[in-house]
Amino acid sequence: VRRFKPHSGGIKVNISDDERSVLRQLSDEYRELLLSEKTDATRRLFPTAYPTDPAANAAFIATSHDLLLSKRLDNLDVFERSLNERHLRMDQAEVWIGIINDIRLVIGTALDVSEDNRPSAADEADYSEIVYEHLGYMLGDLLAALGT
Amino acid sequence: MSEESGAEHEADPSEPGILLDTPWIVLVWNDPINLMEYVAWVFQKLFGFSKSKANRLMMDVHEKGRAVVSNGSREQAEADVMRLHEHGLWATMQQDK
Repeated sequence: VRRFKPHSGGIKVNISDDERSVLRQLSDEYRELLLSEKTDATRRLFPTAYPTDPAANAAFIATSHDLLLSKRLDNLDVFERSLNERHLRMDQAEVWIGIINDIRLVIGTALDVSEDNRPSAADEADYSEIVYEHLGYMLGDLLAALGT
Repeated sequence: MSEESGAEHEADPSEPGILLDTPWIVLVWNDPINLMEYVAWVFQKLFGFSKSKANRLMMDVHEKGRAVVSNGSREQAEADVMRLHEHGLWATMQQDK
């Protein structure tokens, strides 16, 4: 069964209550991380713009970081408010895509995912590897429902 | 455009940088976490690319390690890099020398 389907100009959400509660827990933890000093955990969300020019990059970060942070927090608000919905408007669905991807980036960074180190949801996988894989399936379903 | 081409045209000092300003390019780099279909979706959404162009650029990122997705003034490039970072893509910018 596909978790997301196009419906009435938006997206019909067919995920279980368990999946919704996992998403809610993840979004709580994600908000906490964004507001914490644990910048290593969220470094993938605030990349370098000028990899060979530290001064230009510092200036870039000075103007971009807070803006990016507030956009992410705004998106989290939209995501959390719509988490129990059975039907998403397109703009809400796009926010879901962004938040699920952000959280996947944070987990992938913690798991040290690389081309040679890809988590699998195999028997010996730990909880965060299973969540990482599951978010990937959800994201794929959501993107497919948007017709990409 | 060549800097030497304006021999008969006096440069207007009130418009600095039009001829001399080297354009900036925005690069998106391959990363092992973002899904391929997600990267293509972001390219379509942010730059209005067709599905086939977005997929072609995404495949360049995936196979060649990076792709140029936009170019322009430094301000335009910084704005594009910020939008790409907002969407979790690993984007950088540099002058197109």
